[in-house]
Amino acid sequence: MSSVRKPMPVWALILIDVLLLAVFLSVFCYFHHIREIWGIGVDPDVTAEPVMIITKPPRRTASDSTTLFTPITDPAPGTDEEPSTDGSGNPVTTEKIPEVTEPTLDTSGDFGYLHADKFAQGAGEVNRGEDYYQSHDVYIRVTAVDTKMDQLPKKASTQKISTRVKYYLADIYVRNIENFFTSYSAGKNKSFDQLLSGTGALFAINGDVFNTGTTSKEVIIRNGNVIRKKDYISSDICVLYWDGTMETITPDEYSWDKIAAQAPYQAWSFGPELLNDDGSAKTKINSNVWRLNPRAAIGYVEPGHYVLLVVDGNRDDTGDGGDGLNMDEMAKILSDAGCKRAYNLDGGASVYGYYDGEMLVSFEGERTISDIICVGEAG
Amino acid sequence: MKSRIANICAHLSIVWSLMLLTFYVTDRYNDKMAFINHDMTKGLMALLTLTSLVCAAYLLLIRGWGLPLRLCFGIPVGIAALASAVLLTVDGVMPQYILFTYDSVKAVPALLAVTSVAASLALIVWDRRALRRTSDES
Repeated sequence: MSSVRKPMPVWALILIDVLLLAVFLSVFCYFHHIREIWGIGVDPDVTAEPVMIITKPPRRTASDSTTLFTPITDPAPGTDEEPSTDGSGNPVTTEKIPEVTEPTLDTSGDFGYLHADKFAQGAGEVNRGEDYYQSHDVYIRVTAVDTKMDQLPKKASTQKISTRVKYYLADIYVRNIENFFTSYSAGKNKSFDQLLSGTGALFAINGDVFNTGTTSKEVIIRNGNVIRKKDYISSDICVLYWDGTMETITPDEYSWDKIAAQAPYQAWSFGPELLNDDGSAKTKINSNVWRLNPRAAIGYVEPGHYVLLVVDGNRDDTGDGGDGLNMDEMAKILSDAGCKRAYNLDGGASVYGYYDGEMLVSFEGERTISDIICVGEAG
Repeated sequence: MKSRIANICAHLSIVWSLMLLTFYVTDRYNDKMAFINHDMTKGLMALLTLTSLVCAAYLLLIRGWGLPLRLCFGIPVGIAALASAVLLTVDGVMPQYILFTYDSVKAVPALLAVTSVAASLALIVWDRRALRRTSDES
């Protein structure tokens, strides 16, 4: 007995395929996105419990060469100076100028000896204005820029277009590395407000949003807590060490052992790096999100001196946020700010900027994120 | 029976191919979301490789259709499926090379998806014609 199979109507075939596609995409979306955002069955590599904790090494003293911190070796006045001579090499007797007693600057802390003049000298002293904040441990100057700029809208574009760019550049000095810290929620995203709450942060921006797209986020360290580590990486990472130095590392240069040996304090995994080794801005940076976009980035000038950049680009009905920046222009801004290293963080609707009680940049719908970078007294 | 299995594989190939193409396009806009370099996508690619191989075999081995047409659709999808199988194996054995972060490697699942859609559509259309012919004759 043989039965003759009749072909199904075309519309039914198409409907079944479309329904199947919707079901499969929903399942994929659930496992790829939703579970990560809601924190359901999170990636075992990204849990609330850190894989390991790297504590702050003790500061180096003159007799100790095993630890990281540079010894404070202020030379005794006059010891290194050559005696003054006239043209024939005879010592010149100079009139003794009465000594002017200058106020002694407080050089305490990790980086006090580098940036003593930037901080308030009294323990509880705070000086603040609309665009700056100065205390014993923190100095922040926020530059708000709202300007017209000709820039390429996409990487493939050949014609620059006139755009409106609105960004906030924070020049930051900290006395101790703990004043430059992160607030995070491993495994489950939270709102910016939740992450900011209780941190005492004066300035904050979003980080790399490491809970989402975890496969591309290989090395995650927050405040010395190693949340995730890998033997190899697929994209550039940025590491801030307990000694205040920061470096951007490409997959070719990466070695976990090398990083661990230098005592990492924070590690972000988003990228790419924005500057060349000499501090000049990279051009035609390799990124799929090179185009005009809201952005956040971190820059490093020297230990204890950092730059945080947050670019608006909120294209809501009012167009108040401007058009955003492409990656090359962002790199130029950070290079011009004196950065030696700079690194791109998550952008788009993940961008948040906060300064002293006021939101500088945020988006409607308030996307939940995993982490923020903070500057503040608490740490 | 063979025709039914090939038909189901063809439909699954179309659905999974469209998914892969969606991920390929979204990855071009934002690779940080790891749409391609994700274990689930690799699993999807493995499934598509299997169904594509079934479709390719059916196209190449079933008689009654014109040889040039069978070769035209069957060989590209067969090659793409074999390339995907090799790629997935290499990625599984040597994960340190992170193959699926390279644009050239990401093109392989896209290529597989495109050839698979073409072969699957050809298979479905021809199979429907054959069924119609059989039902008319009976």
